[in-house]
Amino acid sequence: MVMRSAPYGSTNAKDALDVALTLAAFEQSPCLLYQGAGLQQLLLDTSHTTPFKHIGKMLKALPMYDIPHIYIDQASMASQKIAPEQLDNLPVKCHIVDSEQVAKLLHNHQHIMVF
Amino acid sequence: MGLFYDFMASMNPLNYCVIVRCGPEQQSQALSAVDFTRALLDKGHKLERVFFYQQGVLTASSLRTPAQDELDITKLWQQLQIDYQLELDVCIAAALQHGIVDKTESQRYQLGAYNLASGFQLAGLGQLASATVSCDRVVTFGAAQ
Repeated sequence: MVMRSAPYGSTNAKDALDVALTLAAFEQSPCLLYQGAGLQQLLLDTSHTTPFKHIGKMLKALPMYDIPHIYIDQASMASQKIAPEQLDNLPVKCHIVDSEQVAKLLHNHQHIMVF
Repeated sequence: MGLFYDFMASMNPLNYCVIVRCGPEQQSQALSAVDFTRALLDKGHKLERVFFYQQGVLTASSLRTPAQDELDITKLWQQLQIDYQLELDVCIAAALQHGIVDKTESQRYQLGAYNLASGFQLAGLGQLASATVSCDRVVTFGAAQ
């Protein structure tokens, strides 16, 4: 699943996580790739409150629900002006992948959904 | 070439799931979903189900009344459903969020009215997940850019 949307501009972030959790419940071992504005979903400050549901809590729970494979597109870090140290305290463990690895990831999955 | 393609298509029928995530007012995307679905069925492929998610659930409102000279996407899906006995699944969580309910949900939440169009049924995300298990192709319309 490719996560490309900013956290609160639409319901994409939460809708995608709902799909991911359901796929995991069906033992489909979904894998998440954060790209572009989607990276902002990972950087939500826990102290910052919005009237909307905080995605951080759902992210923290992903490994518990058998979604251990979460990737960050390295090229998007530059375009989103995100420094590597900003990724030190993410709510969930993520692997940074370069463009070649992104291509491999997409190639190795039977179905791809973009949110 | 066209004939050859048709021949190949009929020789190797695939099992499809179509996901509709755009609302019926997103005209060309919504229409592409209908056209694609009819085309794959005409070619002899199998369609496990159509799953309406996010704004796509608005397609299933029986209260939509487009202007008379405009295309009615809901009616197009209903006709396809009749022609091919399709399963048109509407995500129940998204439906409730967007104000689409059937009789049962209307009673459960004491809403006093219901508006799920005929031919459509409410279903859980599990129907989408199980389709990814059994389908060769999962094709989404109205995905994020």
